[in-house]
Amino acid sequence: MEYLIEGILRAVTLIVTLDPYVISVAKVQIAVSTSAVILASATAVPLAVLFSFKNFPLKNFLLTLINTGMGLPPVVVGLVVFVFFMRRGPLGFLDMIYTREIMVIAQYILAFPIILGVSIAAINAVSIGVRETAYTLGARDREVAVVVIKEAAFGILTGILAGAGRVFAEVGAILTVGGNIAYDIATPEGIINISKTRTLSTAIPLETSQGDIAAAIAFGLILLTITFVLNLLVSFLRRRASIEA
Amino acid sequence: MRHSIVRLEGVSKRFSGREVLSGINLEIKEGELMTLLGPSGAGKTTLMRIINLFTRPSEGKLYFRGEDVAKMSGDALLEVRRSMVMVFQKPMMFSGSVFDNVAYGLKIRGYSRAEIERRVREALRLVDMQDYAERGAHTLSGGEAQRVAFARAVVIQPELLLLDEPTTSLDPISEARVHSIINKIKGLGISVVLTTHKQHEAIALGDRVAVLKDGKLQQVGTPQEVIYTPRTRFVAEFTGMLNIYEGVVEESNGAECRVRVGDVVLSMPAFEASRGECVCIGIRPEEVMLLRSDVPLNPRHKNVLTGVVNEISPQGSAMLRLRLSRGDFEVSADIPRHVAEKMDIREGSEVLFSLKSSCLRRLEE
Repeated sequence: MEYLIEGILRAVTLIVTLDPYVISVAKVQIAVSTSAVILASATAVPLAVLFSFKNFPLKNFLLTLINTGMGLPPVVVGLVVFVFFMRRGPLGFLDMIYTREIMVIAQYILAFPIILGVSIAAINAVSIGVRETAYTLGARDREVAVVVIKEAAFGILTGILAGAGRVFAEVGAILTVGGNIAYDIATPEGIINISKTRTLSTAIPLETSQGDIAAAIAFGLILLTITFVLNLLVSFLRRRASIEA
Repeated sequence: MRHSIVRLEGVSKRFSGREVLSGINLEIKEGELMTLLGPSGAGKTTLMRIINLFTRPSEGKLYFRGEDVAKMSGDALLEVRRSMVMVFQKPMMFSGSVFDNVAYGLKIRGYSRAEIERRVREALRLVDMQDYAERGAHTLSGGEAQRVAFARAVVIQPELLLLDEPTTSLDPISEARVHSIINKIKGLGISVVLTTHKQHEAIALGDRVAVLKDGKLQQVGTPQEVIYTPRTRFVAEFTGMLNIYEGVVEESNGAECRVRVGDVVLSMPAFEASRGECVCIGIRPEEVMLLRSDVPLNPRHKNVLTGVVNEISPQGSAMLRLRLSRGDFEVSADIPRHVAEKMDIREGSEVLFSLKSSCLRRLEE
């Protein structure tokens, strides 16, 4: 019990004193996961609009695939990305294994179907009457789409936040393709450990197994705070959306 | 001569094999208000949606200002689309304020902010919603949303305004309000097509009335024409001609026709028919006259019958509707309340009445 309290106290100290190692790990996590979510949103949202506006063969089948994609096991995604990018793999020449960029790619694959699926559902929920009203008032297709996106904004944002929740929480994919790497650099204050591809979620099992419970708890606290804030936003938006409707 | 805005030529529409409209020929002229009258399922909304270019006709042509719409594309088509606007039966508000909603059509047309501001305020004044500009559009009641939808449509100054059942889901007070707004809109010189299943509305608002049944136009004409010279039995029934009979032609010469209905023989204006032919004839309840039995009959009164008053029901505040019968022959008559009082008419009274010969009309089935 005593070492738990001591661990938490030391963890808080690490955070408030902005320990360079802890901060570097958090920074990598935030940079990688946020980039993945931004890229996934930028591609999935327009695609969702196209998807719900156009009719084409295999649409329902594709929707089933997207829904399946929402529940992909992160480790498997990591493995598939790794196989494609490993030295002997088809994209091996890019030499991207164990970089932050490849971590972004893996997390992009995890976030994309969630944002796409939730956005499609949100856009489909916008009544056909809204589209027809915009149309009869003289809107071009593009302008109709803008109206629909605006009406679906809360739903789409919920999708984006759900995507963010998933990539911040997962370990399997970024561990497999990123390698959980940190390195030592010499500073006037001495040698310090800095993250290259180590993130909050991948650092926790490592620090735990190495016995540095305080560091693990510090990472856990930061991660918890991030997911808590994300969920707070989601439930706030849900409430707003239900009031609007 | 008024120019035509929209002309439909032989327009038919099928949805998965079911014919919703067939062979519609209709012209809407500049500045006129045409009401499309018909029961639900007659194809009124489909016709509106074809005019507003939501759907293409399966057959036939749609002309806008004389030009075949099917041959247009791109900017020309957009321009046609932008010169008309439809207000749906259940208007949908965009999220945002009332002002945002009314401004939408102007924004996408690229008007300046000052012009938008000016026109939106003006349109909101027209529908008596000027104090609601900053209100959230989703907080409006049904009647208020309806009026904002009118403002949102009128603000773009369309050439043609399509109003789909604008009063169907409204209470009588809101309905009266909408009618006065529609009259104001008419005053702006905008052509209007309005669908309704209420005959009083079609007749009160329309410069012309088009009666639609099962996807076919039954009759197009002024309210007077549709009410007093209905072409078909359906138009007659739908516009309140309560007395409709099936009879047999007994005699037909150049001057008059005599038609037997049960044991009553009615004289009416001549029409093309041969003896023994079965025909459908009708007369409006306000065209049935009560006669005083204490004065000698005027010889110009034809079709004079005696009957019993079976039922009296009020028609508004000034009129009474009498249900009269002479054996199996039944007649509804609308007479002013003061006349009924003066003649001391009550249920069970025996009365003398006349079906004015010139008001009897033949109806096609």
